[in-house]
Amino acid sequence: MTDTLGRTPTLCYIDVGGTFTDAFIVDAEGDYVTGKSPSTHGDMASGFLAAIETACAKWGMEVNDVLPSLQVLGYGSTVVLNAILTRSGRTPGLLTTKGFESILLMERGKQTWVDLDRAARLHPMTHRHNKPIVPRSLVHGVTGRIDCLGREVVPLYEDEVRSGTEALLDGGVDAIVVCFLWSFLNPSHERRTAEIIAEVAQKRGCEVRVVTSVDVSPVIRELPRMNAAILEAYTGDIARGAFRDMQARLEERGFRGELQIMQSTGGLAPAVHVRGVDTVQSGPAGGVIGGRYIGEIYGFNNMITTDVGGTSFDVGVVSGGVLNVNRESSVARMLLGIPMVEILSIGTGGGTIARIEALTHRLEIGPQSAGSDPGPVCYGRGGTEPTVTDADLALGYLDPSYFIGGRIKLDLEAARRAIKERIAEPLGMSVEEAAEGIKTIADAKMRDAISGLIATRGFELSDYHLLAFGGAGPSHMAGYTEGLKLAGIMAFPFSAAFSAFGAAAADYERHYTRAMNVIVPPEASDEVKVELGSQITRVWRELREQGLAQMQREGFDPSVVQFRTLAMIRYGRQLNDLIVDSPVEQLETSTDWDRLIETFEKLYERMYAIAAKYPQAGYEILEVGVVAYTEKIRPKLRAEALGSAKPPDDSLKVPRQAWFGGGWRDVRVFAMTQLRPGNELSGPVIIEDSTTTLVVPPGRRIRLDEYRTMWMEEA
Amino acid sequence: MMMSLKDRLLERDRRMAELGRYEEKLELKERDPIRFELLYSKMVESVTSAHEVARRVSASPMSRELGEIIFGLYTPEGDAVALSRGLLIHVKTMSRMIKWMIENGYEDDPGFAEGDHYFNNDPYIGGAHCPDQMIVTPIWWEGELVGWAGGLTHTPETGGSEPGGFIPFARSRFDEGLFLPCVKVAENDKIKRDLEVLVERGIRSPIYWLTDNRAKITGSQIIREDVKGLIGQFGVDYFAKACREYIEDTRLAAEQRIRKVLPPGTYREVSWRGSMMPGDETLLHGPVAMTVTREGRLNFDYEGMSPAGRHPFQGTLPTIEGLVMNVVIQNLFYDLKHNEGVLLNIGLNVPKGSAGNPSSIFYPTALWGITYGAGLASGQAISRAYYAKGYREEVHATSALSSAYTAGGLDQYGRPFGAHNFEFAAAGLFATAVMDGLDTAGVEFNPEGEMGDAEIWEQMLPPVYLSREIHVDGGGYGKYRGGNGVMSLYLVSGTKDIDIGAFGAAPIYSAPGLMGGYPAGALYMWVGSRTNMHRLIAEGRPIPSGEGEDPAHPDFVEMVEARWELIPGANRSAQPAREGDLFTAMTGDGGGFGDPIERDPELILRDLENQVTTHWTARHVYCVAIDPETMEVDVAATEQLRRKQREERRSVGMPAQQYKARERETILRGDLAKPTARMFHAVLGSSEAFRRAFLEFWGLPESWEMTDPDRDDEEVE
Repeated sequence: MTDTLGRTPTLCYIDVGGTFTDAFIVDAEGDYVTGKSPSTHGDMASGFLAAIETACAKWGMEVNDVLPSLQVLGYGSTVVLNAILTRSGRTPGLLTTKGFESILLMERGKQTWVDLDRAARLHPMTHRHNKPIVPRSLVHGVTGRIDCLGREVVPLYEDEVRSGTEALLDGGVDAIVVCFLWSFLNPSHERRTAEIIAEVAQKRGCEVRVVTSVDVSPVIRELPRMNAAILEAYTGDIARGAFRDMQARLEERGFRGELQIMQSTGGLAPAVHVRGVDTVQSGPAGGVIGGRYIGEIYGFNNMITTDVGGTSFDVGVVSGGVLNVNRESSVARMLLGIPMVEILSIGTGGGTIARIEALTHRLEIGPQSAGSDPGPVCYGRGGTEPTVTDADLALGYLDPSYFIGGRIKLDLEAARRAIKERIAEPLGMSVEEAAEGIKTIADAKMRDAISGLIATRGFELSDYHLLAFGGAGPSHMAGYTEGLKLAGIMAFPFSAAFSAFGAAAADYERHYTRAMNVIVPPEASDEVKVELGSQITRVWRELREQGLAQMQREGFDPSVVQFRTLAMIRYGRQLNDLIVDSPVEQLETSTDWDRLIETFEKLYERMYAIAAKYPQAGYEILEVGVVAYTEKIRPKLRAEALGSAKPPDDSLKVPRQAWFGGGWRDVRVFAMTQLRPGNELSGPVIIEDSTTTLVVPPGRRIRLDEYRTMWMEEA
Repeated sequence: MMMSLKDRLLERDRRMAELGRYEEKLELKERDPIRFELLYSKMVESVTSAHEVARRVSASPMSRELGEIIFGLYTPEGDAVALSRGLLIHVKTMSRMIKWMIENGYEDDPGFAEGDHYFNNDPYIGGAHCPDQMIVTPIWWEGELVGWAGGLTHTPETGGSEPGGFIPFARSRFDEGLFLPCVKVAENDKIKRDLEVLVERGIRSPIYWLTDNRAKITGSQIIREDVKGLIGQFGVDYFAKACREYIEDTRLAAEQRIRKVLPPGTYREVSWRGSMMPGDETLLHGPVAMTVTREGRLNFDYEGMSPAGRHPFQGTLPTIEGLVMNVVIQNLFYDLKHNEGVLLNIGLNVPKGSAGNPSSIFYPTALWGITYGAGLASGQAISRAYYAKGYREEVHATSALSSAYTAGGLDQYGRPFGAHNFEFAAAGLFATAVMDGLDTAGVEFNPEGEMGDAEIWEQMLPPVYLSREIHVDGGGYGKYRGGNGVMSLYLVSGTKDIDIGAFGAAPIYSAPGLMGGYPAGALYMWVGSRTNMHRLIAEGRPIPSGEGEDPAHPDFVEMVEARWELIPGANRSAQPAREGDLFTAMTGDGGGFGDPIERDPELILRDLENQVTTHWTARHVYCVAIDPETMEVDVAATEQLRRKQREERRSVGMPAQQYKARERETILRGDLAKPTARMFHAVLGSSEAFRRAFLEFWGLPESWEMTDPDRDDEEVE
């Protein structure tokens, strides 16, 4: 459908967050609008549609005008995460290797402290076991053992599968998870168990969903693999049900396509086919994909994305055009064998609380947060402890009458009072000095998170462009990039909705991996390499075929499906492998093999140090993979001609005073939406719109390029 | 002329003694507290980065999975400034190593050049035993040595007389494996190949040692380069002064914390361990007297510790220093800047010649034993002080010594190997005054307890798990029970040449309870050889999957025909095993808190549902009547059971003075069990202070002397 101006919305992405739902809509010409509405967790569709409504209203359109013409409607969902956090999933039972029935109570020890901060980790009194999703009474053991080479040591005792299944069905389960040791290497016991469960259920005339760990997470380490399978059984049906409902609601309003869900790995997949557990980190992935897409537009390979929200600071990395993937993630203190876009999250955001530590008299920022309720002191909703946002306000960076476009009136005096009583007086400072201290330490924590993430991956900051977004990103970007030798620093007029923009740029993507046991001794002959290579080639081929078939089932034309070929390589007997994007699609000759190894060696050297290399130990490949993807239409950034460096007169707002480097300064304030390509502004200056405020301190300047991207540079 | 490091070290000690503080004034902190904290956060970020990167480089599950790895930044004199998370007991050990090199003239020969990396695993220099391996590298700035970066890992194989690094019957240091005391292993950041060959041909599984070295060197380089960047940013003078101020800042904070939360006084605790050396079974004595001063100092006095002996159950001075540091950080200073300042308000007296400070490097230290016990008793003393002040949530019983199996031979891939399974880092934790101890959750030497996935261990070691369960009723009974450890059953499979051993302790409890809570049980191991497992499997008959409910009649013994052997204490020399053999391994359990008959029946129901206790225990220990069918508590019957239990106690109890008088007679008669008599005889002969205290406590005459329990044996010979 086309509006009166001939506008055809083609792409829409909805990012549902804890507090707000963001919409990002793009038309056929690449123009876009953003919208924001409170999330409605009880009835997700209402908030979803309201966000679309607020966005398309800016084009003078209604939801029913927009939905019919959409070619892609993407959704960053928190359905699965909410079900886990609120323990409101299904009732799965578990069949596992006999003798391992208590694995969920033992939690490998690590789940008693994972995700705690440093002080709590060192203080065992604060450690706790989680209540398991599957209680011990719904766990049954089955005799049978596969060893680490995939050999059957003890056959599957099928009678125990039957009795275990009967007991679980008697116990009222609606799904059965099967997870045996080494199933990813030899799935025969899990597969046979699934067959028997189906037979038993059929005989009893009931239906029960069976989830095998090898199908959800075919990787080594039984607890994360089991957790992944359990979460799929716990949330998968619920998620798909919610997505189906959403699809129906959208169809009622004229949508004719298939709703697409963002997966934790950063690709979209049709809602009806997606696995619940693959959407645990659906929302935050969008920002990193946006980073990759911006990189493609500008021709940059290496990007750092930084998202400053209310409670956290999230850093993502794109290296060589590829998203960094974390294969040892944890969610709600459960170790999870599911790959996710790597996002380092620290508890420093606008709502993070500042305190004086009693013993050392040290100013500490976070990790406690005032969240959105009560929120910072200046929100006037009962918050008493000063936060980063209160400091920003006290420093004059935020306009108390124009926060979120004036929808929240900020109480400057209350913020100043809290900073004075709780920080400034104990430290013997002025309110402004204390506020600046809060901001400086918060910025330093964010800066350390960026440099730490880059350093621990062995990368060089100077190879990276940094993108600042999220509501509070542009306010702090100058602070948290100070001293970092980056290739460039960028912010966008749609900063607050950047994650939705990024997700709208995602491809359709499916990841496939398979465990292998390829051990290459250091003295391997060419014949050995060719033989081992042929094993890998065969698996790669099978995975590509699997991917192609799946994409076809999901309605994609096979001719547009593309592949990335992956090998997870390590030195002999190491425990950590690197994901190597193979330069060859098959390993037919020893030269192919050597090219693959050379790629690994170069990556290893870059990630670690030359002294860390150990080719004398040989190589091991215990997992290979394939990513199948197809491109889709994406939001466009429209280039405009560069104009004058001087900003237009109508962009100038009422100036105000802001505190920089120990004193109050008169500061010009500009309306972000009125600035034009080519404009240049030297700090101190503040650029604001209804959802974000960009602070440019003295010594820095902003330059708008042809896409209106705001580059922060040294003045 | 620039001062030598040796002179700087002396000057550091002199200033410390003179000022009573590490740095006279915190000028940088006072001048600009924000900038001061900024630099420190960057230092912590750097050591944390080193830690994370190094984990990925190592091939050892200890480093990669279990966090048995730590990195630190040190002053030129070797005092810790900032530390990563990880194995906290080794914070002081790297410091000791640096100081040892300085004191022993290494600055001149072989010298400390940029890019040099020094290795040490000699526990008498720094470390606890041969597997504790550290590498440090100097940090230079414009011709001046401005600090040190270092990392430490615990390595699973050392080339000792038995596989796996922990030598259960080491009689001298020379059983423990390859020691490289402060040896330069890399120059210009390049590893010396000849030293690698030494390791490749000198130990069973060199891969762990050698990749751990790469991990430590990589991590140290990260810290070194970060420090140079920070000096470039902050200036070398600021950096040096700030390092000293951070230490003093921690010392001051620690002093205030002690004054705030611990009432002044002397708190006494004692721990026991045992040595089961053939022909010389003895208990080992590990007392501690912790004095809290009004000024905020803690003095730990280990007078009365058993003398060092020819067994592996003892430690070095750096070990006990590390244990104390570990204990105070976990109990008191978990939220401070962790550095040398933590220890500066702490005094230690570890008598020379004792099992915590052996007089000669000849004595083996493979298993720490009594040193570890004394360290944990020190934590217990802090708990008592907390209790006195009313901080109940900080009060806890003790966690046990843990154990694990060792193995060596040819692995499932046909390669030589030697290693131990380190799941023992997730033992049962102590009960506290407000809650049960956590099951399978940690050990006191590393608060971030982790057992690793079974698949990782099976990749490393040939035995196949038949079960990995929570040790039923392992933790000490109590109002709040101790945490239960791990109980695993293994099947020997897939290799023709394998020895299986274990390291543990003597069969006595090692985790006392508190306030009426029971101690955790002692360690034990079962080995079944020449089993009929293959026949059971071939015939599809049931095979065991654990111990079951009755430890006196374990399921595996009932179900499998074999030559079954029970090894109390779980200390076993490695012996050949064959396909189909079975054996168990268990970690330690935690001590309980409070009277078991005050335990909430709901907690017992929960434990029954989780199958970590039994109906027998519920009735006979906790005196709770639960219907096994309905799983309902009969409140009236429970009250009756508990009343009866109290009456029984009254009928067998006696006043403390009467009990003491009875025991005094036992001492005078010399009617002690031989291991106990050996222990007291050795301690009374080695510590005059303890002898005096002993006589006074028991009201013994000055002329009393304890008879040598082995005198008769000698006369026969």
